[in-house]
Amino acid sequence: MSSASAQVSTVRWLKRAAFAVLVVAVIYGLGALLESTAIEYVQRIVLLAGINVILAVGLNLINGTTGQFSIGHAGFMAVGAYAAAFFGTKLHPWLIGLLGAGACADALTFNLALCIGALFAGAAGLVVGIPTLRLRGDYLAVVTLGFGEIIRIVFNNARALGAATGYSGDDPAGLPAYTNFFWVYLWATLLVTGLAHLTFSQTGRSLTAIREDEIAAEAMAIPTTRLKVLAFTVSAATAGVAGGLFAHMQSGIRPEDFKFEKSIDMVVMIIVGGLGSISGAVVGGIFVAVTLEVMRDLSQYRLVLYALLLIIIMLVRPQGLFGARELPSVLRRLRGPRTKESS
Amino acid sequence: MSDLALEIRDLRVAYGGIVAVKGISLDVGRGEIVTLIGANGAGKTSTLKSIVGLVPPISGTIRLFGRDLRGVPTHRIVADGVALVPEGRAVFSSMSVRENLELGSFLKREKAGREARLERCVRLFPRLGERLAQEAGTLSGGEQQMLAIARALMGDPKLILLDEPSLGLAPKLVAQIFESILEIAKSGITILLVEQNTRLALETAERAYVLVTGEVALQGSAAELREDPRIRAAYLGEDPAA
Repeated sequence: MSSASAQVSTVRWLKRAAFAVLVVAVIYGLGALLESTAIEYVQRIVLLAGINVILAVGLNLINGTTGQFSIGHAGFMAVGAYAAAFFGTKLHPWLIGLLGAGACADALTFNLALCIGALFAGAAGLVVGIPTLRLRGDYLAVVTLGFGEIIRIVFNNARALGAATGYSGDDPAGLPAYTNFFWVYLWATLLVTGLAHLTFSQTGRSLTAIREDEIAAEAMAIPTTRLKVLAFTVSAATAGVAGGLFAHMQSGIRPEDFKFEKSIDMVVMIIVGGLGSISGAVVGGIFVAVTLEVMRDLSQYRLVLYALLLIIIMLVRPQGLFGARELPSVLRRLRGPRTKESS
Repeated sequence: MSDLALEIRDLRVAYGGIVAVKGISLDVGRGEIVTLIGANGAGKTSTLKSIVGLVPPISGTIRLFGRDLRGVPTHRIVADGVALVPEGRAVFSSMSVRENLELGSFLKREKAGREARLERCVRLFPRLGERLAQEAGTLSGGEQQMLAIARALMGDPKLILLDEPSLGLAPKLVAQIFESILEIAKSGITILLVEQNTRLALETAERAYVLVTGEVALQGSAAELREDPRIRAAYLGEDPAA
């Protein structure tokens, strides 16, 4: 009996491992295809879309699922970006000494740097979250708004990190361009899967309970403060990964890359997609990346059009594209009425 | 070991400078149904909230089965066997009925016990059994109230605090809900019931406390209070001269 069940679980793990390998291969293949066919401009938009997806899915955990509004996530993205860039720069020579120069040392440096970025952003989330999330209500919005600005001003004045001119590592050529399709979409896949698992677990349901009725959630013995802080920290760490990916897309990062508008962009992504929906966050992230680029030629009118577009969405579909639903349930609903008609 | 489920002495609760509860003392015996009646703003809900630690009292003691609850966080109090059914039902509206019930046993996740309690809830409220997969927000008011009570039962409580279960419901449904409350009491669970529907509360409970602006104005057995002319005049809408 036990050996049989052990066998079943081994088979299940083998299947999962095979699936994971397949996913990695597909991402790698798509990346190779994109890099050989598309022009650099298109490639850049695709990368930005992937980073946006990570940002949106992370922000959705706290703003959508848990219902605690953060409007300063650019701050956590900045912390992740600077931490990843700084530690990546410092780690690289040491890892080259260990492994020899080459793709292996680069990949290891990059991923370690991303993890460090996530760690720092998560720690910042913890520091901001613990005092703020003890309270019920909209305090998080106020505090994160302030935090986003404070962090930007701190980086603006941090001499060791290049102050207002930004940080570009020790190499005069700037930060290494590690970020490519493969890494962005591998991390995006990992984070979307991980956050989906979290959202549909008992913990995730408890987070939704906090959003729906915090008093009732507390009366169910759900440790609301602890879970809110957990969700916020995970969300901040996710923004940190996105920051690290963003940093290694260009030769340097500047404090003004993480202005308040960036935080608003993120909020727009999840509102367009539908608060509380992971599928919605993915679509919203891509939507914002594409529309911002498409409208770039309009220069200063871009933001006006952007605002108009949002107003239209709010009027026509205030719950966002997906509402709080996920892709499978939306497809089921679309299919549902048709089968009834045919019967 | 005390034979009291709940023992409150000189409880004072304030919101900022406004004192809502001005020194209440009350006892609830094990297995008893006790009701707390009074007008809006008499301090009924504040008393319930301070029992589960949602609002910290400024002074006074609350003992649960003999244990002092001072400084004990809400989730510990709930773990010790108190369930609050909040005012206005407060179901998790975007979740299914089953998910609501499962969250009710947040602390007791072992599967067998949870399924057994879920079955018990469905037996008590068959309507919920028919709607396990339905989104809770789409239930009728009465069904939502049933769900809120059932969700509280999922935590296997020894004491249930019910905050105005009749609020906004049709009379027929109210009668049904109160029948279920009696049934729950029969299974040995202690009940503290807060109500504005005085008549029904006095018919259901064994003893009652009447709160007026944060103080206990009257107390006694429900049968006695039903006959008390002051109650009849103030809460049952009868002319004292008649």
